[in-house]
Amino acid sequence: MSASGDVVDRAGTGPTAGTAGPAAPAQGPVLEVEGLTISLRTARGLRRAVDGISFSIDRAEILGIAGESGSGKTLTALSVLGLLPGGARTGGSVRFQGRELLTLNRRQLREVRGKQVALVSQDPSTALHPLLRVEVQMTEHVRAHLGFTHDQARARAVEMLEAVRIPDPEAALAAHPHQFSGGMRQRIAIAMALACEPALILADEPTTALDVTVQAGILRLLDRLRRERGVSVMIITHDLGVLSSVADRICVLYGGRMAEYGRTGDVLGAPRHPYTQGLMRSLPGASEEGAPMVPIQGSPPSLDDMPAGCAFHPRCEHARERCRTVVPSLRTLPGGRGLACDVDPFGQADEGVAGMERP
Amino acid sequence: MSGDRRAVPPAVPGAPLLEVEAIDVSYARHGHSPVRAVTGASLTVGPGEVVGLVGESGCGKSTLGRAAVGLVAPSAGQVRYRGRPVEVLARGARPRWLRSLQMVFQDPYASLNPRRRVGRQIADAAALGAGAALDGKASSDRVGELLDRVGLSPGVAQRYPHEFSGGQCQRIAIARALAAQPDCIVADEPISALDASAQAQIANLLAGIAAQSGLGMLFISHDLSVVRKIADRTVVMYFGRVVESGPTAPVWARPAHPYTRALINAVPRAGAGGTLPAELPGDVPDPARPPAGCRFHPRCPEVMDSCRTTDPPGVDIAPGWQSVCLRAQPLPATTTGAGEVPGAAEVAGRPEA
Ligand SMILES: Nc1ncnc2c1ncn2[C@@H]1O[C@H](COP(=O)(O)OP(=O)(O)OP(=O)(O)O)[C@@H](O)[C@H]1O
Ligand SMILES: Nc1ncnc2c1ncn2[C@@H]1O[C@H](COP(=O)(O)OP(=O)(O)OP(=O)(O)O)[C@@H](O)[C@H]1O
Ligand code: SF4
Ligand code: SF4
Ligand SMILES: [Mg+2]
Ligand SMILES: [Mg+2]
Repeated sequence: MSASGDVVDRAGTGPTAGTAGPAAPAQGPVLEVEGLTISLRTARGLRRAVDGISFSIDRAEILGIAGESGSGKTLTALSVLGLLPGGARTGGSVRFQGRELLTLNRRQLREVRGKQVALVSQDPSTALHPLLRVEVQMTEHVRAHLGFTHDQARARAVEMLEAVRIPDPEAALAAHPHQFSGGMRQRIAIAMALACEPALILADEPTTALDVTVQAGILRLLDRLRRERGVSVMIITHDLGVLSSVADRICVLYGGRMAEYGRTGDVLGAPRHPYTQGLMRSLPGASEEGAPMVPIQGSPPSLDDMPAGCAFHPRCEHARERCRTVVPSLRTLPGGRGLACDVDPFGQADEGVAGMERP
Repeated sequence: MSGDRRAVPPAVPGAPLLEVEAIDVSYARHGHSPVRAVTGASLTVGPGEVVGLVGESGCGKSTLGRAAVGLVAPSAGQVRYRGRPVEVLARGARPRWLRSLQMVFQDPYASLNPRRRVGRQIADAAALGAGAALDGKASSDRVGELLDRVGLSPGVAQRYPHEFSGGQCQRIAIARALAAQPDCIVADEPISALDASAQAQIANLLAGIAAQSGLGMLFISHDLSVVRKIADRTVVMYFGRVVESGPTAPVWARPAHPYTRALINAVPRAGAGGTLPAELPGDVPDPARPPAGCRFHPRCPEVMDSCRTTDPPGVDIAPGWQSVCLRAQPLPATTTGAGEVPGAAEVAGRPEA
């Protein structure tokens, strides 16, 4: 890998397997997202919600996506599955095992969705139909994708419910989704996603509704799936502790763009983007005992009033004049990192050494 | 806050804002025995007090919260608001005098009306709080002010719920609850979908309102580090029961119940560097068949023989601090209550997530 720190990366290669992260296996990344743009039709016209996001996920790799609320994390996951809201326009490229997904038709997408790529949705009520018993939903899903008989499908459903620690899976199969707590619904949704043994799991805030002990179980389950079955995972979460525990690499998004990316320990250990810095400072443990927490000043932008230049500039303590007008380019840094901040206030003078290796 | 608070019903002098006293709540299940979601749970919320409620998924926190605001009826025990028993009306309707007791629901999408602009929904709540509809200008000013407080631009008032991300919906749900000018809020996972900075912002906002205007809040959350930061007292539930409750600082420094310790150990830390958080071994119990004796005994790392048969009583560790465990011992009087307690170093040294 070249150690030249200042390669301009506008074409949006981002943290792709060839240049970043753990050694890529021979067959190449499972998912490659390049220069993805998503525009949504709103009452006030077309608005660009995702603007040039690029990343890749290797086999058996867990990639974390962090970012402020509304930064486009869910939309990015939905685009992989062709589930964007009506009227959405996409640009760039999303390749799964080398196959372009953005141009597939509905029928072709349905083959990929559920079987090879599974979504654990942020809102478990969308994954589960409220009026159908859990058994019907789980077995139909497995039968449709794997061609199992009813008994085989039922056995698989029980096995998966056990894996996510649902007490008495038999009773759970007979119940309707509203009879479960929020966290149990989320575990059932995870069980459903795992049931077809997908190659890639898109997990959108999969543990946000769970208590920390069950969360620990799910994180260990994801980690086991990737170790034992080579499953790749894209995990979307704002919980930096979760990312630090399971993700190999992370991308931090802000305002629909990449703010920075790199190996998890590097990014969280020494954040380079002022937004990531602000996140770390906001953590409850970062402020004095008894003192209030320290959020980033200001509020996140909404789609209707996305700031010109760097989207973070109205909230950034380090903003210069040019930040108001010039969109910072995404530069690759040594050590497989990338940064979209032209000022780089937390960069070290000796770039060649700084980003490279951390203890 | 703007607008007058309408006369509140006669409070019973000296009563806490919200009292949940030894309630049981069960849900009927088709073809199966009923689920007893909450068993003998008690807690109180005083004016200006933030009470954190934590515990395993499915242990009954939301059920307790819904009972506390009068949305489900306990089968035993009683809920009182300002000293008056809270009665449950049919089909989710609530008596008028309960409007200053508000709830922020766990699922923000489901709690917002999909066909109504969010600004209208907040204005409806503001009218409820003021006791009369506000005129156009006053109403839109109030909506704008509330949106601004929760970190959204006033311009989003014209949008419908589906046009928002998960975290944006949570902010709207909080704005709507605040619009009704409550003096007590049950907030069920109100900030779970927000990034660290927005969590800090909203948690500061809520804790600030509690400190300044005497709002009482039951704050249900899986985010233990936020609870540790803003809750005056912490209540820990396991499997339908309150297993430990007490002032936040000592409970965190020296958790008395083995389940509380397991929870604290499972918090993932931002500096984890690839270390997976500790799992709590064993299975979540089946609500239809609660374990005999202590309900935590099949998973408890410190289980004794007597735990399998004896239902543990609550033990006062110190004034206002209880643990429901056969191993629990009162602290010697000299060390009680203070944040500095012997053994604090065991857990206090842990960096937080
Ligand atoms: N159907 C829609 N119509 C209009 N705008 C939408 C729609 N869905 C999402 N948006 C907007 O697109 C942006 C990105 O949304 P997205 O759901 O991807 O955010 P997110 O990063 O997942 O946020 P969160 O962490 O809060 O879930 C947000 O500003 C949101 O308001
Ligand atoms: N409407 C219902 N019908 C039947 N059972 C229910 C109903 N709502 C909840 N339950 C059951 O009651 C128990 C407690 O659920 P509750 O939603 O109160 O848990 P919780 O502590 O809020 O969990 P979470 O942290 O996952 O939100 C669970 O076993 C759940 O399955
Ligand atoms: S480009 Fe400028 S405004 Fe943006 S993060 Fe860097 S310093 Fe701040
Ligand atoms: S009573 Fe026994 S089983 Fe229950 S928490 Fe205490 S030590 Fe553990
Ligand atoms: Mg989202
Ligand atoms: Mg709940």
